[in-house]
Formats: sequence, C-alpha cells, structure tokens
Amino acid sequence: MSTAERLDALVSAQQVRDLPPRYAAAYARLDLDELVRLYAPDVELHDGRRGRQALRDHFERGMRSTGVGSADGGSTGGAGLHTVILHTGDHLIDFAGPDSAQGSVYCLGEMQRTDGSWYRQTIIYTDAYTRLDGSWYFARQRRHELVYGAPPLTRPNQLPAANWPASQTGRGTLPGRWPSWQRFWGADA
Amino acid sequence: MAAAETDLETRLQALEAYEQIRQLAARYAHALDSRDIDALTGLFVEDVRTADGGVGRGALASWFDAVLRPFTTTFHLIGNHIIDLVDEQHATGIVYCRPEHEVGDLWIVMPLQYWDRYEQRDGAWYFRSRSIHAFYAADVLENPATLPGRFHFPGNPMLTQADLPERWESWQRFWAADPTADPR
Repeated sequence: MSTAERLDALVSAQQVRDLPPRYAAAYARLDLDELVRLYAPDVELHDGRRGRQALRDHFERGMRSTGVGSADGGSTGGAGLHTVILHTGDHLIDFAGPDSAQGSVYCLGEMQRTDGSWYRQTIIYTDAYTRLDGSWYFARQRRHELVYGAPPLTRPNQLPAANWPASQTGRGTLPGRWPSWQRFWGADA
Repeated sequence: MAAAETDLETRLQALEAYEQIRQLAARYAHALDSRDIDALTGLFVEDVRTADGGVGRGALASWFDAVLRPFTTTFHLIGNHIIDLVDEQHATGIVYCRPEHEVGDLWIVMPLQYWDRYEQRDGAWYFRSRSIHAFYAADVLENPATLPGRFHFPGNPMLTQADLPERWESWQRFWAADPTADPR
C-alpha cells in the first residue's frame, strides 16, 4: 500500500470506530434525524425495506414502546424509553476494501422506561459499513443480538428466552447461536 | 528529504501498530466469549508460553479449554486501552474489562485489568502475554464488601483472589505515608 493509502486506512478506521458511540449518543437524545444520518441513504432494513425514512419509523416505534410481554414481572411492557445509556466497547473492524468494512460491537445498555422501570441488556451488534463521498456510514440496519436483558438486581440465569424484540428482558440468542460455541461444548453433532 | 520520509514512515508504522493492537483486545473478547479457541490462540505469538509451562498455540488451546469449562455464558466488555510502544517490534498495554460470567446459578462480575505485552511478527501484532488482575469478583446480587477478600468466584481455575489495588506499589506508598488512615 502507498503512504496515501495507509493514511487513508487509518482515517477510515477512526471514522468507523466513531459510528457506534455516535449511535449511542443520538439514541440517548432520542434524536431520530441524527440517528438515521449515521446510515447510508439507501440503508437496507432486516425486513427488506430501504431508506432512512423507513429506518426512522422503525426507531420511533422502538422508542415509543419497548414491546409487550416483558419477562420482568411488575414493569409494564409498552412504555416508551426515557433514559438510554448505551456503553459500547470491543469494536472489531474488518475492512473488505477501501470503502467497505464489517464490524462487531459490544454494548452494555441501561434503560429506563417512561413508566419508571429499568432494565439492562448485554448486546452484540454486527455491522456493515460503507464509505460514500468520503464519509463512513452504517450500510444496513444493525444486527442486534442479545446475550441477556434483565431488570435491576436480577440474575439472568433463570430468565426465559427474551425473543427480542418481543421482550426486552430474558436470555438472548447469544452465545448459543455462535457455531464456535456449539463446537466448544460439543453440541454441533 | 530522505530523513523526513523515514520519519513519516516511522510515524505511520506507529499509528498502524496502535490500530492493530487495539484490535487485538477486541478480538480477544469476541473469541473468548464465542469460545472460538483457534481464533483466540491465533492472537498470540506462535511461541507463546502458558501459565502451566507449555509452549505454543496448541498448548495454549489446551490451557484455555480447561480454564473456560467452569462457566457458560460470558461477556467481556473492555475499555480504557493504554498502549505504550517500546520499539518497532514490542509494546506493552493495559486494558480494563468488566466481564460477566454465568457460574451455575450465580452471575459473577469481575472488574479487572489485563497487563499485556505485544510483539510484532512479520508485520502483524500479537499478544506475547496477558496477565489478569482483578479488583473484585461478586455475584450481581452480592455486595463485594461482605465477601472474604472481596472475591467470590467458585471453581475459577485461573484466578483465586483479587490483587488490585494492593498490588500497586504507588498505592502502598500512598497509604504507608499515613498508616493510621489505611482503609483495609
């Protein structure tokens, strides 16, 4: 790689690393416009829809209602989000080329609903990033996988499956979904 | 001009070293939590030495296998990565981690520091060694102040006590200057 290309890669890595904290900050402010500006204009959603407006609608639904059927008995599902603390780390980034990358990000979230109830979540996001006109964006809706969600002062061990996003609390799809996890415990036979 | 180019190359290599070493810490957590032992041991130099006297990634894989059996779900959230470049092939670092472990019916949080040594081989950076230094270990329903040695992590084959902050010489010096104020 030329010197210019190496410098470019370093700047790209920094810009990509900034995306998850920017997401966390925009989410905390419930700033839908700022949130969707972090995504490519033709962002693809899990359900196949495209574009920032569709994503904006998706985020707004999630902020106005945290879903029903919560496993934390007592707090009501359905209340919206009041406080959202997304503490991210462990950002793993793999570049596929100068303008394309994939990544994985850890997040410890502490959330308070508008009814006053709190829950925490451990999340691992899987991302795709793209560079357009010199700026890096999330290329598609972030894949959000829960390790667990739990009310305060609760051990996650015995919680039922969360089936997120149906419930914010309960056991998640990780680590069980990782093939390496299944191999380690000999469950891939 | 030639000197300026050398300087530029040195600075670029330093930035690339920081970038790669930062990635090592993130990859370690991902590989550990997903129990991807090949990916995990591949982050270490090929002549890595294990705590039980073995040498090589195969020996490290056996060591990790035994160490990782006593708990199921883990979640290693890291931050505060300090990196000191020693020379073009060597670096040291400190990483904070707030891991959670499912241990039977317990859910144990063990805030800790990794004390790292990194080494570059053929253009890529690896862990030369990682040592773990815990502040405490407690179930999410426990108050660390009520635990003997502020450490409750049954069956942990790797760590049996919390050694921070007492292990820090500066910390000892600070309290030695005023023994009556020792909080322990």
